[in-house]
Amino acid sequence: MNAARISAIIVKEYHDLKANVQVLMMLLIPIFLAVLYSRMGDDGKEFSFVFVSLFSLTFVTMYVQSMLISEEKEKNTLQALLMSPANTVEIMVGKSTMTVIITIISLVISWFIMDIELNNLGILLLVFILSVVLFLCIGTIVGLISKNLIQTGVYIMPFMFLFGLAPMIQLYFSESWIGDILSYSPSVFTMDISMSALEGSAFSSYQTDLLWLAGWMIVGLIGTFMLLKKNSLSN
Amino acid sequence: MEYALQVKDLSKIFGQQRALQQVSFNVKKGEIFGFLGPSGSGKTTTVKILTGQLLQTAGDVNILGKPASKMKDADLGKIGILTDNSGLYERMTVKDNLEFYAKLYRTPTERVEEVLKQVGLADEKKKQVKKLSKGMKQRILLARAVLHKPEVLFLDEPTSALDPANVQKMHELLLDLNKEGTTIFLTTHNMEEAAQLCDRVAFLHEGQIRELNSPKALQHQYAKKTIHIELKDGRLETVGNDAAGAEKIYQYMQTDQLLTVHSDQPTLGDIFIEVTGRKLA
Repeated sequence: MNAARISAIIVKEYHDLKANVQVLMMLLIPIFLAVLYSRMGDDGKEFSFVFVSLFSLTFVTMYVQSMLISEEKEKNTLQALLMSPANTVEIMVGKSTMTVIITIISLVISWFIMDIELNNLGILLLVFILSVVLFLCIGTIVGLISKNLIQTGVYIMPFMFLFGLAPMIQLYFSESWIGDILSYSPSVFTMDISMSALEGSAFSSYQTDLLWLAGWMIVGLIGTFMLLKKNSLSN
Repeated sequence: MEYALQVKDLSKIFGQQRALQQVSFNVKKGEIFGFLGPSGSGKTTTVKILTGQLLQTAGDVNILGKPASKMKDADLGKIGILTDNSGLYERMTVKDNLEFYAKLYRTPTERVEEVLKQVGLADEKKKQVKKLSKGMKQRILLARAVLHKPEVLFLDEPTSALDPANVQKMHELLLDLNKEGTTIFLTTHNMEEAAQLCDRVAFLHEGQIRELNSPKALQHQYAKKTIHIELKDGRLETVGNDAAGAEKIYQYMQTDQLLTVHSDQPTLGDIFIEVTGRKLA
């Protein structure tokens, strides 16, 4: 890996993003939700915080990443990147860093607004890292399989609901087979582990969920690199 | 002989359609090689295979001694590409776009100013790309392709969106790069451009190479061996390019009847039509 190339891609993303109003608007969605939930009192504050964090991962990490990748593809700049001396890892790291920074900004602002005491910070950070990498991968995959930005906007929807906002849907289908299937969604694992960590539960109570989440992340990474490799060939 | 590109029995089939059929040619290092053909003849497919963006169905393709499909990231730094679907970051300025690629290719950023002057865009460097004309964008793409002084440069219709003055500038830039050792693989519809720039040209028609030689050699090969003369009284005559024809011209000169003499040398466009039976449109 070449740090100069990665930093060049990050600087490019910064120059490009600062003029991208659509992406900047996405940053406001979780912050707006945090403001709303902070006014609903202290009951279930931790649940609301994890809920807002999932919104941040879905709308900022997953959605923004899919749009950034799709735009590169639509404007024919991705091909130039893939045909440059930068390798796939450098491109992925460079292109994802700004999305991660925006996600962190939205999470930190939400945390300040909601005034949550963060127990088990190490576990929360681990869940955050696994989830961010996975959601970046999902965003990248959707961006790569779509032909243009409009198609990305359509394709990303089922991924946002099934992978990002599954705990909210699960609430309505808890007694049916739909709820059982959704219980394997990565966002359900993110939610359960985060809630357990915030409530101070023992590590053993959520270690299996952590393994599931790590498994999802590995599958996401493999899928992303396979698709990037395929995209460097135009047939 | 050192070759920049070696192509042997290259074939590409898309579904039922044969895009390329047993295409073979070599491009010497430092050569400007023109690949001429009408739309749909297989030019872009060839460029994509040569640059490792597309896999061939059969045949061997080597670029700088390595199979094109196995080019590593470091090898990609030795080539420059400008195709009809190249894109730019429209929200960024001209300078930011080029500086980004300079960093990717580990080229000194001072080179950006140099190339911007060469393509005549030094005064536009702080403008957002989306505010520029199609011709200007084409010049930025060319600047990007040559920024790192590649060993092999692939150009797919590089001057199609440019006005004559800028075409001339681009030609000067390409000839300067070639003098410094860059091998250029050029596809174009423009016969004058090919005749002016290329050391050798190949005519591609329906996925096959129909003719391959230097423009001069092709003009000699397809010359009709006749001379057209125009007399002062307005008459036009055609004489053979031989002793009898020379005698006739000499007679008209002695009697002060001769106005003009034209050899019947065909253009590359004429030769293309003769070889393939169709125009280069």
